[in-house]
Formats: sequence, C-alpha cells, structure tokens
Amino acid sequence: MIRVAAVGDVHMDVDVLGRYRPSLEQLGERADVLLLAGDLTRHGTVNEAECVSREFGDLPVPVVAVLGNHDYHSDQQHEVTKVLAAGGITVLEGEGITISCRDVKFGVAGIKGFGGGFAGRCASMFGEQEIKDFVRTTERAATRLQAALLSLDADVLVALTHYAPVPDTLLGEPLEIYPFLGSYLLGQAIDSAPTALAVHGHAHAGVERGVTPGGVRVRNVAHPVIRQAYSVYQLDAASPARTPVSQGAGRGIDSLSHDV
Amino acid sequence: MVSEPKVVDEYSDAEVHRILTEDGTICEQGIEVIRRDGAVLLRGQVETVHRRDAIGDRVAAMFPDKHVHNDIVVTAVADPSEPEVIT
Repeated sequence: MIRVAAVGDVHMDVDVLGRYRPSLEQLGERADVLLLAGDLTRHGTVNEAECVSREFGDLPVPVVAVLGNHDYHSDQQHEVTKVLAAGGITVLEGEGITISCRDVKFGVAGIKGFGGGFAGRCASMFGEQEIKDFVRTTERAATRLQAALLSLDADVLVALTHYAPVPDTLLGEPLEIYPFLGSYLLGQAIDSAPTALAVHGHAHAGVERGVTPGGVRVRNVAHPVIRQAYSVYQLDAASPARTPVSQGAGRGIDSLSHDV
Repeated sequence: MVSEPKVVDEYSDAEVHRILTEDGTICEQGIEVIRRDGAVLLRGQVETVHRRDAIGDRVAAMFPDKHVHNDIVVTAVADPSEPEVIT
C-alpha cells in the first residue's frame, strides 16, 4: 500500500508563503509521497519558484512535480526547474522516477502535457502550420509520456500531468475551452501502460473524479477543485495490475510520425 | 459629425477576461465576470485576499459607472480529508 498526496495550481508567490505549511507539517503521517500537478507559480519567475521551494521543500516525503502553463509564462522554465531541484523537488518533463517505499516500488511518469481537445472534437494535423504545430506539441507530449510510463518497472504506476487526459474532470468548465484544457492523446498514453492512477491540475472549475476510456482512475487535484491543502489517494500494490489498452483499430500513439 | 462609437458588451467582456489573464499583476484565468442589472458580479477562486481585492479594483477601474460585486473567494488550505482508497 502506498499513500499518494497531490495538489496542483498552488500559484505561489510571496503572498502565499506559509499558507500550505501547517498542513504539510503532518504530511509524513498521512502520505508517502507528494505530487505537484503544475502551475506552481503565477508567472513562472525564479523568485516565485523560490517560494515554491520554501513552501514544498524540506518535507519528510519525496516531492515530485511537473510544471504547468503558468510556470512557462516568463520563458524561465529551465531556471524554475533548477530552483525546484535545488530545493529537493524532482521535476519531470517526459521522464519517470521510481521510489521505493515500504517494500513497494512506486513509479511516477510526468509531463506538463498540452491541449488539443477530446475524441471527436479535437484539433487535427491539418491546415495552417500554426495548427499543425499546436497538434504536434500535444502528440510529442503524449509520446513522451507513454515512453516514460512504459520504461518504469514499478509495483504501482502513476501518471502526473498538468493538462487533463480526459474530459470527465472538466465538468463545470465552459465547453468552448476544453481544447485548451487537455487532450485525449494524454489519456491514450496513460491507457497504454499498467497505470493505476492519473493525476492532473489546470481545470480550476472542473471536478475531482474521472476515468479514462481504458479504466484508469483520473483525479483533478487543482487546488480550487479539492479545496484543501492536498488530497491523499491510497493505492494497493497487491491489486492486480490493470491491463493496458490496445491502441485499437485506429492510429496509436506509436504511429505518430515526428521526432520526440 | 461622427458619433461616439457604440460600446458592445461582448467585446468589452472579452477585453476584461484578457486583461485579468494578461495583466502581470493579476494573471488569473478562471474569474467569471457577469453583468446583472447594471452591476458587475465577479466569481471564482484565488489564493489570497490581496489577489481577490486586486481583481475587484482592476475591474472597478474598467467600469467606473457600475457597482462591482466581488464574490471571489479565497481557496481553503484545510487539512486533507480521509484518504480515498483506489482499488
């Protein structure tokens, strides 16, 4: 059994410093790992990243994060990543990590992800170069997420993204902005591996619970959704691993032709 | 004589939404701006009282002749509820 704490969209700056800390002080008693689902800062500056490091660093459990769109706003995402890493926070962008905890190999693969929309109402690789670039960005993210998930040898496997992999957790958001909130390609990547749980943020007006077409439970942990310092999910390593879903009759992620 | 251009609510609503996102002092994407009976109602969640008040002030400056009801709430950071068991 492993207990996974998670929160996203904390949008740290100096005015938020100390808000989360009281609940984080008991984190070690409640969870074995903390996942941060992106939008850790307001504008993606180094100063704000230092606030994230102060608030979510030096905790009794490993902290694993992905960045969100806000964390890219100032084009300082690499510097932001370095600051977080210096604070002991592991930042994933198309990578995976395995953490041993109480005889359980816990694997988490993470990537920010991108938009594009969901089955039947999504952007396609067609038309202007700008549209193709948009779709290609999502396809690359999905391909990298799938590779990261499949690379991990873990008893319990979790996918961590900022953008949503399913529309279920967007309920409450305006339909018109769904294509900017996530992509079915992320869900397809998650379904292609024996993933036990997918955690994301980004959709402040959405709902917490959803499921991929392949049966992977999805949790939107955006802070405005969970309305608490973090949520905790308990996963049992003894549960039979979910069978990965085949890519079906259509094109799978493997068929996407681009450089990853 | 050229008359004053007509103000179209839909365009000014779009501008407000963009300003709340693109203004570096605000940077909020999830704020609802609703017009009701000549007033402006703000809804959404932010991390601090300072951020809520800054949005209210910014919108009030954009609509000097309208009353702005600021119903934005500060998201709680309470201790977590019981763990959810994922089976």
